Amino acid sequence: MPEYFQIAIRATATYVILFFLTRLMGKREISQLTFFDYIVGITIGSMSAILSLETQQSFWNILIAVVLWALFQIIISYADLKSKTLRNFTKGSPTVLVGDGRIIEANLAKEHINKDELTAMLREKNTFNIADVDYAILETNGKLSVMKKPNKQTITPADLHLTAEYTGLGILVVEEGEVNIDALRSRRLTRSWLMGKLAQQGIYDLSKIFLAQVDEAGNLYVDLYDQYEQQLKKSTADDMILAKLVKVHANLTMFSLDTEDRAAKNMYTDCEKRIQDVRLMFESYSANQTAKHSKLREQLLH
Amino acid sequence: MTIRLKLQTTLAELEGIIADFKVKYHESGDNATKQLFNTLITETETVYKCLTIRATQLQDVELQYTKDGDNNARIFSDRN
Repeated sequence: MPEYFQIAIRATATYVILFFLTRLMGKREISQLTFFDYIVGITIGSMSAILSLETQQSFWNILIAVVLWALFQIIISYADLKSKTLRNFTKGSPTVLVGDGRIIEANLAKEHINKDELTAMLREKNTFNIADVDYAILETNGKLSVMKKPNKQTITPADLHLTAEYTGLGILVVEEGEVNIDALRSRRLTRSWLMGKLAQQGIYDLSKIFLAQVDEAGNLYVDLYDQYEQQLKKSTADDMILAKLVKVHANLTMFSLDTEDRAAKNMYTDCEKRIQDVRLMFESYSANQTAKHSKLREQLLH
Repeated sequence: MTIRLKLQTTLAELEGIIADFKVKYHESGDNATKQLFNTLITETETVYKCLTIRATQLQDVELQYTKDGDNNARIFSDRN
Protein backbone atom coordinates (compact mmCIF):
# COMPACT_ATOMS: atom_id res chain seq x y z
CA MET A 1 0.00 0.00 0.00
CA PRO A 2 1.59 3.34 -1.02
CA GLU A 3 2.25 5.78 1.80
CA TYR A 4 -0.01 8.56 0.54
CA PHE A 5 -2.90 6.13 0.40
CA GLN A 6 -2.18 5.11 4.01
CA ILE A 7 -2.13 8.74 5.08
CA ALA A 8 -5.41 9.39 3.29
CA ILE A 9 -7.09 6.55 5.17
CA ARG A 10 -5.53 7.60 8.48
CA ALA A 11 -6.56 11.24 8.02
CA THR A 12 -10.14 10.31 7.22
CA ALA A 13 -10.35 7.95 10.19
CA THR A 14 -8.79 10.51 12.55
CA TYR A 15 -11.20 13.17 11.33
CA VAL A 16 -14.23 11.01 12.04
CA ILE A 17 -12.91 9.76 15.41
CA LEU A 18 -11.97 13.22 16.59
CA PHE A 19 -15.37 14.51 15.54
CA PHE A 20 -17.20 11.99 17.71
CA LEU A 21 -14.80 12.35 20.64
CA THR A 22 -15.24 16.12 20.74
CA ARG A 23 -19.02 15.72 20.58
CA LEU A 24 -18.84 13.36 23.54
CA MET A 25 -16.62 15.70 25.54
CA GLY A 26 -19.14 18.50 25.13
CA LYS A 27 -18.50 22.21 25.01
CA ARG A 28 -16.13 22.22 27.97
CA GLU A 29 -13.03 22.01 25.84
CA ILE A 30 -14.08 25.07 23.83
CA SER A 31 -14.81 27.20 26.85
CA GLN A 32 -11.52 26.03 28.40
CA LEU A 33 -12.75 26.45 31.91
CA THR A 34 -9.42 25.57 33.48
CA PHE A 35 -5.81 25.52 32.43
CA PHE A 36 -5.92 21.74 32.61
CA ASP A 37 -8.81 21.59 30.13
CA TYR A 38 -6.74 23.72 27.80
CA ILE A 39 -3.74 21.40 28.05
CA VAL A 40 -5.88 18.32 27.50
CA GLY A 41 -7.38 19.89 24.40
CA ILE A 42 -3.96 20.65 22.94
CA THR A 43 -2.63 17.19 23.79
CA ILE A 44 -5.52 15.41 22.12
CA GLY A 45 -5.00 17.67 19.12
CA SER A 46 -1.31 16.91 18.71
CA MET A 47 -1.84 13.18 19.25
CA SER A 48 -4.46 13.24 16.49
CA ALA A 49 -1.94 14.92 14.20
CA ILE A 50 0.52 12.07 14.85
CA LEU A 51 -2.30 9.62 14.32
CA SER A 52 -2.98 10.83 10.82
CA LEU A 53 0.60 11.50 9.69
CA GLU A 54 3.07 9.09 11.38
CA THR A 55 2.86 6.03 9.16
CA GLN A 56 5.82 4.47 11.02
CA GLN A 57 3.76 4.14 14.18
CA SER A 58 0.91 1.76 14.59
CA PHE A 59 -2.47 3.42 14.10
CA TRP A 60 -4.07 1.44 16.91
CA ASN A 61 -1.40 2.29 19.48
CA ILE A 62 -1.91 6.01 19.11
CA LEU A 63 -5.65 5.62 18.85
CA ILE A 64 -5.72 4.00 22.29
CA ALA A 65 -3.89 6.99 23.75
CA VAL A 66 -6.23 9.53 22.13
CA VAL A 67 -9.36 7.68 23.21
CA LEU A 68 -8.05 7.25 26.76
CA TRP A 69 -7.28 10.97 27.10
CA ALA A 70 -10.76 11.84 25.90
CA LEU A 71 -12.26 9.16 28.12
CA PHE A 72 -10.51 10.51 31.23
CA GLN A 73 -11.84 13.96 30.44
CA ILE A 74 -15.37 12.60 30.11
CA ILE A 75 -15.14 10.52 33.29
CA ILE A 76 -13.73 13.38 35.32
CA SER A 77 -16.38 15.79 34.11
CA TYR A 78 -19.11 13.32 35.08
CA ALA A 79 -17.53 12.69 38.48
CA ASP A 80 -17.24 16.45 38.97
CA LEU A 81 -20.97 16.74 38.58
CA LYS A 82 -21.48 14.42 41.54
CA SER A 83 -18.81 15.43 44.03
CA LYS A 84 -17.93 18.89 45.24
CA THR A 85 -14.71 17.74 46.89
CA LEU A 86 -13.49 16.25 43.65
CA ARG A 87 -14.51 19.40 41.85
CA ASN A 88 -12.42 21.52 44.17
CA PHE A 89 -9.53 19.18 43.58
CA THR A 90 -9.71 19.01 39.77
CA LYS A 91 -10.79 22.55 38.98
CA GLY A 92 -9.59 24.52 41.95
CA SER A 93 -11.73 27.30 43.31
CA PRO A 94 -12.00 30.98 42.42
CA THR A 95 -9.69 33.29 44.36
CA VAL A 96 -10.82 36.58 45.81
CA LEU A 97 -8.18 39.17 44.91
CA VAL A 98 -10.06 42.23 46.12
CA GLY A 99 -12.61 41.92 48.89
CA ASP A 100 -14.67 44.72 50.41
CA GLY A 101 -12.64 47.20 48.41
CA ARG A 102 -9.32 46.00 49.86
CA ILE A 103 -6.61 44.10 47.99
CA ILE A 104 -5.84 40.71 49.55
CA GLU A 105 -2.07 40.48 49.12
CA ALA A 106 -1.83 36.87 50.30
CA ASN A 107 -4.15 35.71 47.54
CA LEU A 108 -2.22 37.72 44.95
CA ALA A 109 0.93 35.92 46.03
CA LYS A 110 -0.82 32.57 45.93
CA GLU A 111 -1.89 33.07 42.32
CA HIS A 112 1.47 34.63 41.32
CA ILE A 113 -0.13 37.86 40.20
CA ASN A 114 1.67 41.15 40.75
CA LYS A 115 -0.10 44.47 41.27
CA ASP A 116 0.56 45.68 37.72
CA GLU A 117 -1.11 42.58 36.35
CA LEU A 118 -4.01 43.11 38.72
CA THR A 119 -4.52 46.71 37.61
CA ALA A 120 -4.22 45.61 33.96
CA MET A 121 -6.90 42.97 34.47
CA LEU A 122 -9.14 45.50 36.18
CA ARG A 123 -8.68 47.94 33.32
CA GLU A 124 -9.78 45.26 30.88
CA LYS A 125 -13.02 45.25 32.84
CA ASN A 126 -13.36 49.03 32.41
CA THR A 127 -12.32 49.68 35.98
CA PHE A 128 -9.55 52.24 36.06
CA ASN A 129 -9.59 53.02 39.77
CA ILE A 130 -9.05 50.39 42.39
CA ALA A 131 -11.21 52.60 44.58
CA ASP A 132 -14.23 51.67 42.42
CA VAL A 133 -13.82 47.95 43.07
CA ASP A 134 -15.94 46.19 45.63
CA TYR A 135 -14.98 42.63 44.74
CA ALA A 136 -12.55 41.22 42.19
CA ILE A 137 -12.47 37.45 41.83
CA LEU A 138 -10.03 35.41 39.77
CA GLU A 139 -12.04 32.60 38.18
CA THR A 140 -10.65 29.13 37.51
CA ASN A 141 -10.35 29.90 33.80
CA GLY A 142 -8.00 32.79 34.61
CA LYS A 143 -10.46 35.56 33.93
CA LEU A 144 -11.21 38.28 36.43
CA SER A 145 -14.76 39.06 37.50
CA VAL A 146 -15.27 42.52 38.90
CA MET A 147 -18.11 43.85 41.00
CA LYS A 148 -17.99 47.60 41.33
CA LYS A 149 -19.14 49.56 44.33
CA PRO A 150 -22.88 50.30 44.18
CA ASN A 151 -22.47 53.97 43.31
CA LYS A 152 -20.06 53.13 40.48
CA GLN A 153 -22.30 50.60 38.80
CA THR A 154 -24.04 51.21 35.52
CA ILE A 155 -27.58 52.53 35.82
CA THR A 156 -30.30 50.13 34.72
CA PRO A 157 -33.96 50.94 33.98
CA ALA A 158 -34.82 49.41 37.36
CA ASP A 159 -32.63 51.99 39.15
CA LEU A 160 -34.68 54.74 37.53
CA HIS A 161 -37.94 52.94 38.29
CA LEU A 162 -38.64 52.60 34.58
CA THR A 163 -40.51 49.69 33.10
CA ALA A 164 -38.92 48.42 29.92
CA GLU A 165 -41.06 46.60 27.37
CA TYR A 166 -40.55 42.87 27.50
CA THR A 167 -39.30 41.81 24.10
CA GLY A 168 -38.08 38.30 24.78
CA LEU A 169 -36.08 36.23 22.36
CA GLY A 170 -36.18 36.96 18.66
CA ILE A 171 -36.67 34.11 16.22
CA LEU A 172 -36.11 34.12 12.49
CA VAL A 173 -39.36 33.73 10.60
CA VAL A 174 -38.11 34.46 7.09
CA GLU A 175 -34.73 33.36 5.82
CA GLU A 176 -33.60 34.23 2.31
CA GLY A 177 -37.14 34.66 1.07
CA GLU A 178 -38.43 31.42 2.62
CA VAL A 179 -41.04 31.59 5.37
CA ASN A 180 -40.25 29.33 8.32
CA ILE A 181 -43.73 28.08 9.18
CA ASP A 182 -42.55 26.07 12.20
CA ALA A 183 -40.97 29.11 13.77
CA LEU A 184 -44.15 31.11 13.17
CA ARG A 185 -46.27 28.36 14.73
CA SER A 186 -44.07 28.21 17.81
CA ARG A 187 -45.08 31.84 18.42
CA ARG A 188 -48.71 31.09 17.54
CA LEU A 189 -48.53 33.34 14.50
CA THR A 190 -49.84 32.74 11.03
CA ARG A 191 -48.51 33.36 7.57
CA SER A 192 -51.20 35.97 6.92
CA TRP A 193 -50.17 37.84 10.08
CA LEU A 194 -46.64 37.94 8.73
CA MET A 195 -47.76 39.13 5.30
CA GLY A 196 -49.83 41.86 6.94
CA LYS A 197 -46.88 43.00 9.04
CA LEU A 198 -44.63 43.03 5.99
CA ALA A 199 -47.21 45.01 4.00
CA GLN A 200 -47.22 47.61 6.77
CA GLN A 201 -43.55 48.12 6.02
CA GLY A 202 -44.27 48.25 2.30
CA ILE A 203 -42.84 44.82 1.47
CA TYR A 204 -44.86 42.59 -0.83
CA ASP A 205 -42.20 40.40 -2.32
CA LEU A 206 -40.84 37.68 -0.06
CA SER A 207 -37.92 36.99 -2.38
CA LYS A 208 -36.51 40.43 -1.55
CA ILE A 209 -36.17 39.56 2.14
CA PHE A 210 -32.81 38.43 3.44
CA LEU A 211 -34.14 37.77 6.93
CA ALA A 212 -37.01 38.73 9.17
CA GLN A 213 -37.00 38.31 12.91
CA VAL A 214 -39.93 38.55 15.30
CA ASP A 215 -39.62 39.03 19.06
CA GLU A 216 -42.07 37.86 21.72
CA ALA A 217 -43.82 41.22 21.76
CA GLY A 218 -44.63 40.74 18.06
CA ASN A 219 -42.22 43.35 16.71
CA LEU A 220 -40.91 42.49 13.29
CA TYR A 221 -37.44 43.37 12.09
CA VAL A 222 -36.91 42.98 8.35
CA ASP A 223 -33.69 43.16 6.39
CA LEU A 224 -33.89 43.28 2.62
CA TYR A 225 -31.17 42.35 0.18
CA ASP A 226 -28.89 45.35 -0.48
CA GLN A 227 -31.08 47.46 1.79
CA TYR A 228 -28.17 49.35 3.24
CA GLU A 229 -26.89 50.43 -0.19
CA GLN A 230 -30.35 51.44 -1.36
CA GLN A 231 -31.10 53.38 1.78
CA LEU A 232 -28.05 55.51 1.18
CA LYS A 233 -29.20 56.33 -2.35
CA LYS A 234 -32.96 56.76 -2.24
CA SER A 235 -34.36 58.22 1.00
CA THR A 236 -37.10 60.68 0.08
CA ALA A 237 -35.45 61.94 -3.08
CA ASP A 238 -38.79 63.29 -4.28
CA ASP A 239 -39.28 65.36 -1.16
CA MET A 240 -35.86 66.90 -1.65
CA ILE A 241 -36.70 67.99 -5.19
CA LEU A 242 -40.04 69.42 -4.05
CA ALA A 243 -38.37 71.39 -1.27
CA LYS A 244 -35.87 72.82 -3.75
CA LEU A 245 -38.68 73.84 -6.11
CA VAL A 246 -40.52 75.60 -3.30
CA LYS A 247 -37.34 77.46 -2.38
CA VAL A 248 -36.68 78.56 -5.95
CA HIS A 249 -40.27 79.74 -6.24
CA ALA A 250 -39.95 81.79 -3.06
CA ASN A 251 -36.72 83.35 -4.35
CA LEU A 252 -38.38 84.31 -7.62
CA THR A 253 -41.25 85.99 -5.78
CA MET A 254 -38.72 87.96 -3.78
CA PHE A 255 -36.80 89.00 -6.92
CA SER A 256 -39.93 90.22 -8.65
CA LEU A 257 -40.97 92.26 -5.60
CA ASP A 258 -37.50 93.72 -5.29
CA THR A 259 -37.10 95.04 -8.83
CA GLU A 260 -38.59 98.20 -10.30
CA ASP A 261 -37.60 97.30 -13.84
CA ARG A 262 -40.89 96.52 -15.61
CA ALA A 263 -39.40 94.00 -18.07
CA ALA A 264 -37.50 92.21 -15.34
CA LYS A 265 -40.60 92.07 -13.16
CA ASN A 266 -42.56 90.46 -15.99
CA MET A 267 -39.79 87.99 -16.62
CA TYR A 268 -39.68 87.01 -12.93
CA THR A 269 -43.47 86.58 -12.77
CA ASP A 270 -43.37 84.40 -15.86
CA CYS A 271 -40.61 82.26 -14.35
CA GLU A 272 -42.56 82.05 -11.11
CA LYS A 273 -45.57 80.67 -12.98
CA ARG A 274 -43.49 78.12 -14.82
CA ILE A 275 -41.84 76.87 -11.63
CA GLN A 276 -45.24 76.71 -9.96
CA ASP A 277 -46.52 74.53 -12.83
CA VAL A 278 -43.45 72.31 -12.65
CA ARG A 279 -43.96 71.91 -8.92
CA LEU A 280 -47.63 70.99 -9.28
CA MET A 281 -46.88 68.46 -12.02
CA PHE A 282 -44.09 66.87 -10.04
CA GLU A 283 -46.18 66.85 -6.88
CA SER A 284 -49.02 64.97 -8.58
CA TYR A 285 -46.52 62.52 -10.11
CA SER A 286 -44.98 61.88 -6.69
CA ALA A 287 -48.42 61.47 -5.07
CA ASN A 288 -49.37 59.04 -7.84
CA GLN A 289 -46.35 56.87 -7.09
CA THR A 290 -47.27 56.72 -3.40
CA ALA A 291 -50.91 55.91 -4.27
CA LYS A 292 -49.75 53.05 -6.50
CA HIS A 293 -47.80 51.61 -3.60
CA SER A 294 -50.64 51.80 -1.11
CA LYS A 295 -53.04 50.26 -3.67
CA LEU A 296 -50.69 47.30 -4.02
CA ARG A 297 -50.55 47.09 -0.27
CA GLU A 298 -54.35 46.89 0.02
CA GLN A 299 -54.58 44.23 -2.67
CA LEU A 300 -52.15 42.08 -0.76
CA LEU A 301 -53.88 42.56 2.55
CA HIS A 302 -57.28 41.38 1.30
CA MET B 1 -25.85 89.23 -0.08
CA THR B 2 -26.60 91.18 -3.23
CA ILE B 3 -29.50 90.22 -5.44
CA ARG B 4 -27.03 89.07 -8.07
CA LEU B 5 -25.48 86.59 -5.65
CA LYS B 6 -28.91 85.40 -4.56
CA LEU B 7 -29.78 84.99 -8.21
CA GLN B 8 -26.68 82.91 -8.72
CA THR B 9 -27.58 80.58 -5.81
CA THR B 10 -31.03 80.18 -7.28
CA LEU B 11 -29.44 79.32 -10.61
CA ALA B 12 -27.31 76.66 -8.95
CA GLU B 13 -30.39 75.21 -7.28
CA LEU B 14 -32.22 75.14 -10.59
CA GLU B 15 -29.29 73.33 -12.15
CA GLY B 16 -29.55 70.73 -9.38
CA ILE B 17 -33.28 70.30 -9.98
CA ILE B 18 -32.70 69.84 -13.72
CA ALA B 19 -30.09 67.18 -12.96
CA ASP B 20 -32.50 65.40 -10.60
CA PHE B 21 -35.20 65.44 -13.26
CA LYS B 22 -32.77 64.06 -15.82
CA VAL B 23 -31.88 61.16 -13.53
CA LYS B 24 -35.57 60.44 -13.01
CA TYR B 25 -36.12 60.65 -16.78
CA HIS B 26 -33.53 57.98 -17.42
CA GLU B 27 -34.73 55.80 -14.54
CA SER B 28 -38.40 55.81 -15.55
CA GLY B 29 -39.62 52.83 -17.51
CA ASP B 30 -42.86 53.88 -19.21
CA ASN B 31 -43.28 56.49 -21.95
CA ALA B 32 -45.84 58.61 -20.10
CA THR B 33 -43.44 59.24 -17.23
CA LYS B 34 -40.59 59.93 -19.65
CA GLN B 35 -42.74 62.51 -21.43
CA LEU B 36 -43.72 64.12 -18.14
CA PHE B 37 -40.12 64.53 -17.11
CA ASN B 38 -39.21 65.80 -20.56
CA THR B 39 -41.77 68.62 -20.09
CA LEU B 40 -40.50 69.32 -16.58
CA ILE B 41 -36.91 69.55 -17.85
CA THR B 42 -37.79 71.93 -20.72
CA GLU B 43 -39.81 74.21 -18.43
CA THR B 44 -37.10 74.38 -15.81
CA GLU B 45 -34.45 75.00 -18.45
CA THR B 46 -36.47 77.92 -19.85
CA VAL B 47 -36.59 79.51 -16.40
CA TYR B 48 -32.85 78.83 -16.01
CA LYS B 49 -32.07 80.62 -19.30
CA CYS B 50 -34.19 83.68 -18.44
CA LEU B 51 -32.51 84.03 -15.07
CA THR B 52 -29.03 83.63 -16.57
CA ILE B 53 -29.70 86.57 -18.89
CA ARG B 54 -30.87 88.67 -15.94
CA ALA B 55 -27.82 87.69 -13.91
CA THR B 56 -25.48 88.90 -16.68
CA GLN B 57 -27.40 92.19 -16.91
CA LEU B 58 -27.08 92.72 -13.17
CA GLN B 59 -23.39 91.89 -13.25
CA ASP B 60 -22.76 94.57 -15.88
CA VAL B 61 -24.58 97.17 -13.81
CA GLU B 62 -22.79 96.15 -10.64
CA LEU B 63 -19.39 96.45 -12.34
CA GLN B 64 -20.38 99.94 -13.49
CA TYR B 65 -21.20 100.89 -9.90
CA THR B 66 -17.90 99.59 -8.57
CA LYS B 67 -15.98 101.46 -11.27
CA ASP B 68 -17.73 104.70 -10.32
CA GLY B 69 -16.28 104.22 -6.89
CA ASP B 70 -19.58 103.86 -5.16
CA ASN B 71 -18.94 102.56 -1.70
CA ASN B 72 -22.41 101.23 -1.49
CA ALA B 73 -21.70 98.70 -4.20
CA ARG B 74 -21.71 95.96 -1.60
CA ILE B 75 -25.28 96.62 -0.57
CA PHE B 76 -26.31 97.12 -4.17
CA SER B 77 -29.83 96.00 -4.86
CA ASP B 78 -31.86 95.40 -7.96
CA ARG B 79 -33.41 98.85 -8.26
CA ASN B 80 -32.57 99.89 -11.81
